[in-house]
Amino acid sequence: MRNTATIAWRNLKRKPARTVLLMGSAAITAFLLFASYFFLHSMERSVQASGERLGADLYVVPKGYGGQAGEMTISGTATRFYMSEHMLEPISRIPEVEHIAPQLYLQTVNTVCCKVEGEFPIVAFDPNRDFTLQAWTTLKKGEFAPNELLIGSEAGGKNYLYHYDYSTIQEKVVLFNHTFLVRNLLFPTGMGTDKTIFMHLDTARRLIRGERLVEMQSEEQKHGTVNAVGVETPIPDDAISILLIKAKPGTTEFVKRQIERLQLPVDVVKGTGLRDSLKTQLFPVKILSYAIITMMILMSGLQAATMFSAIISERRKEIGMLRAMGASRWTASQLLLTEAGLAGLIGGMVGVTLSYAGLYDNRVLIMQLMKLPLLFPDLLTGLWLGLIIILLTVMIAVVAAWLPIRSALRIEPYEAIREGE
Amino acid sequence: MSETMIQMQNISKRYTLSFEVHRHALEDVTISIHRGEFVAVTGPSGSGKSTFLAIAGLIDTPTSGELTLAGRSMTQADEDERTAFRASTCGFVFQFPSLIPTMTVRENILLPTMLQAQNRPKRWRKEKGAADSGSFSRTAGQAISPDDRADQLLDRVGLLDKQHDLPYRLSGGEQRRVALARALIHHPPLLLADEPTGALDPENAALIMRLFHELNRDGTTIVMVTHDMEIAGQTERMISLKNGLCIRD
Repeated sequence: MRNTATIAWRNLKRKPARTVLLMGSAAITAFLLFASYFFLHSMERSVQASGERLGADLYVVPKGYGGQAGEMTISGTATRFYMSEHMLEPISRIPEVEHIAPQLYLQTVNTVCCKVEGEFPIVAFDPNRDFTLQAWTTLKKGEFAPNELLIGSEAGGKNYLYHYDYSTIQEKVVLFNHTFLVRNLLFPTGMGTDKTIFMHLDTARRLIRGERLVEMQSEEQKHGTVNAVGVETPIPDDAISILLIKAKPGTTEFVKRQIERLQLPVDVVKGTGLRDSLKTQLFPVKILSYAIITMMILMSGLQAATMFSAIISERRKEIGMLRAMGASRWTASQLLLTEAGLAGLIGGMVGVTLSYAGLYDNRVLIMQLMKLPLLFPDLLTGLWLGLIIILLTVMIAVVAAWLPIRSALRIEPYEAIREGE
Repeated sequence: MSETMIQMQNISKRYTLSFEVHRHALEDVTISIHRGEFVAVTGPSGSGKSTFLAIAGLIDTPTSGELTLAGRSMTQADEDERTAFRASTCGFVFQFPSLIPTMTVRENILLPTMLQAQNRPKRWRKEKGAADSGSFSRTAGQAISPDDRADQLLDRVGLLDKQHDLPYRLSGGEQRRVALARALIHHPPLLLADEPTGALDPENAALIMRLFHELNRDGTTIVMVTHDMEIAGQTERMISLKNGLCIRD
């Protein structure tokens, strides 16, 4: 096997221009496959995230405020209605409830966020229960501390998105006489939530109770040199504004009725169905994208087959000679397929590396240009994806080479030698 | 009477040039070549000499007729059997040496042993065993390793000092000698040579012929195609072909 690989490698080196063409073709295939899959994967994640953030299946709000529920989540406006957190407990016990996340709308404040002055709605969320914001940030569950903030993509200005995948943004925002650290920003949605500032629910509660969060005070505040804003009162101690619910698939109506049956002082409003609507609208795009990828693989295979057909035709004499020397059809094909496989392997590795490096290095620029959250897979997934695409490129090369090789091996060695001459 | 190495009975070979146009390369040829013979096959261009050699070496199949090699009928042999027989019994020297340009002289000579080792092991062993049982494979001298055999052959063709050179550094005559050594690496009892002295200067042609005579003295059966009557005259038997017919033996 080592000998076969050595001979194959030397044969590739023998015709550098031809080899560069072969590897170049494989590299372009791998590059396009990786990039296509990557964008498709990002699009799917983006749709999923959109659905999760904006398309909760059910909203639970205090009795009488049902009409405002959907608008609240989309506009991010701080509304002044509250209900007790105790509503969460009985609702979360309904087995069909998959996720339940409380949010508390504090108020809209005028402050400076990341050197940009403006009116920012302040919303508190529970990072342990949240399913609506998670998909829009690179932050992992459990990484969000009480003195930290998540900000909408435009809360720090139009170009603040460049900080998207920083693990910590070294910016401080003064809210309610306390200094918070901006931990991360959310990917743009084009809605009011892009200007919202999100804080930890526990922190919001402490602020409401009037606690002095000494550990969060800056030196300037301690010495009274900063004019910060205070929380308007009164907000009930255990208040929440809304409960966002994700029901198990197909159970939304059932869950709604179950909640109503609990006879709590709440209104239950069905979500806008945005997630399903997005999925339905994007389904043809997704199918088309997969069809394009399939066509690309086919085209690449046909292109490789054409190249190999010319190469094998040129080497018929060599094939005949090898067989006259005692090489079986299997051995001769193995030798030639190893050449094709090696070209595919090296080309595939180059293509995947360039694609990964190019996309990774320019991810923020791409995000700015395309308004698409490029949610990069982690290193291991990236490696697996790369390996699979390299393997696919090798397979394309081997299958493409196999057809002309098979045809060349079908004829008698003497005929191959004569045709080669 | 010595054993028959090649037995052709009414062998014909017809090539289809187009739908209705066929060409007879060989027609009803009946010939026997015995073990240890040194035979020249002569004739003008297009007389069927090379086709004769290709059929005798199992690199082409006859359209009709019976072919027996080393006492074993090869008329119905499948591709694996033919490959195994070629690998164990035949050595080919072609008109053009066709050396692998990226391999050194030594590696080119060792190439057949490497290729044969790569052949599908299970089936190959079975077929090789079957082929060996009917062939004239010599056991004497086969105990040596391919590397030792390559040394022996390099010495014999006078290229020991050039064993690590690439083919492009060799003259035409030297390349032809490498091709000869390559054909002999696996101790074939049958050597088939197609115009081995063609396009060679007299000195190199004489050297090749001297090597052939040495091999023949060692027991190798040699069938050599040539249109050079002077070269053909150095062999012990001459077969003449014309328009695919055997006109003299």
